[in-house]
Amino acid sequence: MPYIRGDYSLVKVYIDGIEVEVPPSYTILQAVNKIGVKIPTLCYFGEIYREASCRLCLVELENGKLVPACAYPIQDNLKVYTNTPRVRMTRRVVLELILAIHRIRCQSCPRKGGFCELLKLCNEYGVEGIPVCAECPLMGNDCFLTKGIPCLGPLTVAGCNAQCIIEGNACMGCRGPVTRRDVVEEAFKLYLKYNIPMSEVLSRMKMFWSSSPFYDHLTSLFSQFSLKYQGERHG
Amino acid sequence: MVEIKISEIDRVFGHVKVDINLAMENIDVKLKITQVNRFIESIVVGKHYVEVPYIVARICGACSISHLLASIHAIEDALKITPPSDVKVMRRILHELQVIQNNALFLYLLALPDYLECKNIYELAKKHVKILKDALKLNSLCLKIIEEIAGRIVHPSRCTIGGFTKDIPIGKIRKFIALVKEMKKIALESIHLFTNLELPKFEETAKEYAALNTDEPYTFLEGKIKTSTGLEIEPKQYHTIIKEFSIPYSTSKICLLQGRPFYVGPRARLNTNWNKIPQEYKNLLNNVNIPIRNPFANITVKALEILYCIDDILNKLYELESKPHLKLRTSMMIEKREGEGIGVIEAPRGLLIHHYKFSKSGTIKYANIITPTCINSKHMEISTIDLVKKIIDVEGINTDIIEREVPKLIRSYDPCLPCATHAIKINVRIHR
Repeated sequence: MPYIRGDYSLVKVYIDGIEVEVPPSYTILQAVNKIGVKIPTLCYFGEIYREASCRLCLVELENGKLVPACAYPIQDNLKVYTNTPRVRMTRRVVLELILAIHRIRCQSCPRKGGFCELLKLCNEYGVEGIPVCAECPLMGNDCFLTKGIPCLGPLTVAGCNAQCIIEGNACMGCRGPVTRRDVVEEAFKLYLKYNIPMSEVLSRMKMFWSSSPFYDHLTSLFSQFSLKYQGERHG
Repeated sequence: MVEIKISEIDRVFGHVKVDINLAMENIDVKLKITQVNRFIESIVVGKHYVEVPYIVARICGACSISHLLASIHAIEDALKITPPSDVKVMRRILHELQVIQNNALFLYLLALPDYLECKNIYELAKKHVKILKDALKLNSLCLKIIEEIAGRIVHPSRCTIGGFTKDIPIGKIRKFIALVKEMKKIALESIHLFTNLELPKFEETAKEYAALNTDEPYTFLEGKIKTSTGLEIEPKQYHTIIKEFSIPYSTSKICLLQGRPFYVGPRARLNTNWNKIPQEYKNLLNNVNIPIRNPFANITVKALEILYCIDDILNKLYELESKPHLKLRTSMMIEKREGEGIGVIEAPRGLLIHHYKFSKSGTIKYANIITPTCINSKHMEISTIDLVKKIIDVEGINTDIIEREVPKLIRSYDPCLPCATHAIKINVRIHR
């Protein structure tokens, strides 16, 4: 809504505890931008388009309601929280939902995002590549892990349509690792379940990942999990 | 004193330059390979042997199947695995397809412009479109079959230790036969181009050859190493006669056979196996004396190889077609075992040797790879000296002719310099 000339009454809102005075015709997003706090948006395009369809700009109100900042009008004494854990979690789910209708290839983009706003946000919110295991069974392949072969499918970023596994080779991880902790934990559990020694997995990882900055991160995660699941291996 | 420096030889795989120094009496030729070192032998050290074939295949994009199969043979030799007969036949078909493709690439695109008086293939395309189209058609048919058998055109993924990772249905074999027949048609149409070429009259002075030898006319994947001096040794004993040396001015190594330079490649294969080659192929080579001592004759010999390989592939495919099903697939079990293995095969450019030793955990502790261009580089130098001498005898010191003829000679060897510079530091050992 355009600013109406002559309407000098301003309303007070509190954004993350900071007091701001804005005209009553403003939306939350405009008020937030005024103090320089950033809220991620994908579908919002100024005055031209604000259907609140991407839902990435969700903020939390005092009563616990999550509302889209780009379309929600200002009220007097409105208290808005832009960066609570609940907001961050919801934004991540929203990103994952958006990516669900994208192709996996989009997320393992060789340009690592470039100008793509979506991939930048994915980076920021820790929404990471899906492992090859997610798309491998879709191609009708047998699992190598069940045969005791250290396949790197559970740890490698998907997007290759499981090309090597279709050809009958175990995954070598040429597309780089997924570093999300929960994915690595699931992978660790899989290797444990099929009695694949971690030394073999690590030596296989060396082929493509030894120079990657994530290699040390992965090895430290593995050592953490090996402590955590030590009991299960013996039991 | 005249110095001739050829800064870059075009139409070869990789980078090489030649320095010719015409002193009063002796002519000094230095073949300087300037390709960057690749250190493949050092890279594989510490890797599990299962990964090694895929890494060493990266030595060369043109003959990746040769490197892959040589390393698989070496590892199979170390683990005492004998693959089923179907696998052997399929590998042979795969390798011969690669020989055809490599030879065709060399003949039509690299060597032929010299003899049809074109500067490069673009000029060739303007003057002789049909030839270029034939070449590309032959190439694409080869690659099509390679892709169907091995999964990929370059660096195939389906060949592995003990066999293939995927089965090939019999129906596809019939498809291959049709494709190979098409290849034969194209090859027969244009083979007279190469057999009727007017080659420069020249004889080399280094007259030793080495090639694999079995009962069959041509052998690529098995057999004993036979030399023209009459030596016949098991592939395992290669190190008793073939020695590698570093030279300061080149990034590649050189190989000597009992201290003397020797030649491997198509001419060596023909010269050592001449008695067994059927008459129909011999007829293709008119007016040659056996053994063939002219390096320029590599062109005709390679053309002969194309025809032989096509016929051989057809025979093998007919054999496979009559079988109910093919036994190609292997279970990829990774064993931990100590071992030492040597794989010797005939790559399109000559003898290729892969030698690995692995420790108890299956990791490579020693790797040695000897490629044909390594072996031939000394022979190339000596032949260049001979050629320059001959030119000076006939024409006097004419730098123009030398600069024109020397690249032609080097090119006729079809050197593959990325293969040659796979390592500078050899015999890498880890002491523990």
